[in-house]
Amino acid sequence: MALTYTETQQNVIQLPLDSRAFLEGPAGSGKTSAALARLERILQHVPGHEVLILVPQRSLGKPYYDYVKNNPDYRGSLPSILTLGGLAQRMTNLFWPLVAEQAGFRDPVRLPYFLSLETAQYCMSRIVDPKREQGLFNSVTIEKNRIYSQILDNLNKAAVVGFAIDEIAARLKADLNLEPSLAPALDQAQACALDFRRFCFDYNLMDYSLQIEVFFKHVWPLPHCRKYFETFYPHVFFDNIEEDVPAAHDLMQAWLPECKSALLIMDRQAGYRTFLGADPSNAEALKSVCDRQIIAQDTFKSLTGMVDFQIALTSCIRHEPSAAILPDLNPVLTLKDFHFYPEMLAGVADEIAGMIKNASVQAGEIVILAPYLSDALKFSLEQLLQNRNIHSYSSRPSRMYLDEPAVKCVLAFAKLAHPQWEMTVSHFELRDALMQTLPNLDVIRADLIAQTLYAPSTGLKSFDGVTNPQMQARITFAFGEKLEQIRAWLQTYASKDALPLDIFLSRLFGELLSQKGFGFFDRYEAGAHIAQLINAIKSFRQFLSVVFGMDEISTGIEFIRTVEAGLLPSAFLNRDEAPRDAVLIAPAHAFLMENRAVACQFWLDIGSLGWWERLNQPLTNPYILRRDWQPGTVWSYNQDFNANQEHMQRLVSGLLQRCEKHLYVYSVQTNERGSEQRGPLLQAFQTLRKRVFATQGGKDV
Amino acid sequence: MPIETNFIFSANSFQDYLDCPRRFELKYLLKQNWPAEESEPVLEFEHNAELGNRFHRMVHQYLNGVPQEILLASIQDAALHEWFANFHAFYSSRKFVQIFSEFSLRAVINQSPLVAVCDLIALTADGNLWILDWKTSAKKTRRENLNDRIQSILYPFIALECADRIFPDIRLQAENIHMAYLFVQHPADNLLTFDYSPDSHQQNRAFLTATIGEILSKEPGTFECTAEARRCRFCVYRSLCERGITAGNLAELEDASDLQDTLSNLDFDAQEEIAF
Repeated sequence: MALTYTETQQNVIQLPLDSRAFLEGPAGSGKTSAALARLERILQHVPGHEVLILVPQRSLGKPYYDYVKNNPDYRGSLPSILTLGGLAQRMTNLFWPLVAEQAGFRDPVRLPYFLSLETAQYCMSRIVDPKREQGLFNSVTIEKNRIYSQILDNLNKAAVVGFAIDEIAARLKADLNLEPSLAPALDQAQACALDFRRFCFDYNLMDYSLQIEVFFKHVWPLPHCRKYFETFYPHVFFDNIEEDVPAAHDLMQAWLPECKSALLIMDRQAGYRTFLGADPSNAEALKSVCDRQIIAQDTFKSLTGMVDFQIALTSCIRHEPSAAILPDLNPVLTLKDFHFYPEMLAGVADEIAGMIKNASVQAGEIVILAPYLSDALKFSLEQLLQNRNIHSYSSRPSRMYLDEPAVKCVLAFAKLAHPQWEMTVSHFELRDALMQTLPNLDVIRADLIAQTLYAPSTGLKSFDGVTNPQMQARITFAFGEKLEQIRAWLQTYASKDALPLDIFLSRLFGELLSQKGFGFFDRYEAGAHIAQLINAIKSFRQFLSVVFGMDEISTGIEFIRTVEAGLLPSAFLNRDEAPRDAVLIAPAHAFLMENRAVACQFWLDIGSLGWWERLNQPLTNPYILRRDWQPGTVWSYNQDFNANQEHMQRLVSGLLQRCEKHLYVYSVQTNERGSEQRGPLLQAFQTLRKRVFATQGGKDV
Repeated sequence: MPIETNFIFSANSFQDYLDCPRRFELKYLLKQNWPAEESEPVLEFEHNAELGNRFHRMVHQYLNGVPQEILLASIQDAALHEWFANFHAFYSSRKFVQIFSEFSLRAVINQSPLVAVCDLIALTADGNLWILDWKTSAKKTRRENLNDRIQSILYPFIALECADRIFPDIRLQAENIHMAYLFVQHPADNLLTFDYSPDSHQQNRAFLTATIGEILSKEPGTFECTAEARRCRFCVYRSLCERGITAGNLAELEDASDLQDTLSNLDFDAQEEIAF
């Protein structure tokens, strides 16, 4: 079916091929659809490899990926769809030999190692932990992993906003809301940031902040880099510019006058990533390098009722009077209150099960949103939905695969096979591992085996060596034979040189546990979980051996130590494509960054302050580390309050603009931690409820 | 699970299907990550693959303007030094007027997308297009085996289908397309070239169309295991298919060159195909 476009969209599509245009409008006004049609037109005239599509984060590039992937007719070379970080990494990697020395890396001949967020945290732990042992950061009462991430965040802000690292502490001290006792911690955080930067130079490490700095200071000025841009990026699409950082805007300020065509797209009223450095006002300045501006007004997605609801709720958030007569909100809004958190979660799952059963909405059209998504919340919801045969997925990777029985099983065998690690396997661990390994082994028999044939000091003993015939019969000879096979495999392994942990696990899985007659034979899901573990260990091994010269065998123990410290395991997971027909469970911000509308949204625990205030981050502040921050000024309580108000209002508007049919708002009297919270979002809904009650003649929502 | 209508066919996925339809089903349709060993010794394979990666990266840097002397100064590995010298001797003997390194192309057959990730696409002044592939394996693949590899069929096919989109000012014919493999471990007699023709293009189209049709028409569960069981020694799914216990040793392949030449999953230089 041919798409029809509005006049505004037609104007965008039919722009002259050499124009640089700035398109702005609210969410749902068809900006990206127009950009895709414009892309199609451009690709009819220029080779695909001459097109750069820049987006603030990968999820926002999905419409463009999908366009290229699903276009049944497209042939030719392919456009580049990149974030600023991806672009900086690509260019730095390519021109590394030309810039490594002047950038200050100690060993410019060696290749750079690009750190992920998790490996950067691992490296930061090597800087921070010794200082914590000396008593630094004593006044900071947050988990150590959050200390690492906030110091990294400060480095990133310095790079994308454009100020020196040694200004971090002075800026942050302008926050009047900060406990005075935290001031020394800010100096310590800055010292750690400087140490981390030196550490990166010493080991050829590139965290995000250094990638951006090296790119702008050393790579971008190279004539080679300019030539690359001329060849590969003469046509530019830059979508959701309001969600990007000032450095991305700087790059476009510099490149747009030289490129052949450009379409910049800005979502008005957005800017959900300000806490990550996004700067909508800076984005707006890009108008000056465009030769025309187009404003999209129309919205396609929202129901009239939803628009009215958004207006009514916004007035409640702002404490402003609303329209004299409020519309009937029942068609678009359901409010429910629960006593306890688990009740609320079960209520969500039941509601969704009912909707899917009635075929009123498909699972892929439903999202469950919370301000933050803990592993516990994610796991509980996944289980509740799974029990009702509903598929779900989460927007972020999880450490949960480490709790999978299959993963625990192979790690138990790894410890058994490596007594030199001095990591004891408990009877319970062995019992559970055997139940995974031997099909049809019940818990009583497994326990019997663990109690009879295993001692932590001697390992797994031989079934054939059991002298009590009754005991042998209770275990059964069938299981005894399998146990002997396991012992023989472990003994053969012990007689040779030890292997790196990932290789050991691969071999154990392939040669033994996935063979016919053993527990993982044709168990796809178990195989997938173990594969995740092995990939994580392998990547970590390569990282440690390449960067720090650690021997391959020791990396396995370091992996286990690091995992137990709460760092790492999600670092090396493959992020699979989202399943099509599954409920999304996500933090509200993450859903906004998918930039898509759904039929139904569930908002959980709206009494939580998380809907309003930013996360407690004593060592950083997104508002003070902005480009437009004036040195010498202060950040007051009122400014913080107003910023929270503005943030919540923007968040709520953004979510409602992406809700097509119905919003389910759930509150709870006693939250996850057993306390009662009546945050501003709950208060706004209570105000709304009163107003509706008053104007609808006693009819409640 | 039936195959998606927008499934992207690549040299790797085609070769997997041709090697073993069951492997194709497990890997691409069921997306089953089966964590058994593929071959032994694993660390040696990793090392060779890493050297291959580094070589490809250096050539890509060179072709984008990083001077040869700077690159040579950065090489600490004697083998890499030699490979780069062999590459450079070849490259400097050619006169290309336009080049694209590490370049992705997309074509379509009956609405099924095909993708090729080429080490180098290079145009000569007289209007000939070379598709060049760097091979870092110690042993030169025999011509007849390379000729049968899907890469030798797919890449020139896609290149000709896309030529007018990449070089809009030039009318390229099948005769102008050349697919060549450079075996960089060898200082001389290291280039294997396959010329293209309208007949080859028609044959390739027919072959690719038939293979895609065959794959799309298969019901889940009907993708059969390869009849050549010795391949299973070098496949992660061997336990799932009840085709053996231990992974094959790379040294075994020295005596089985026909197998070595065709095992796509053990190609150090195989490109990872991109998301679309």
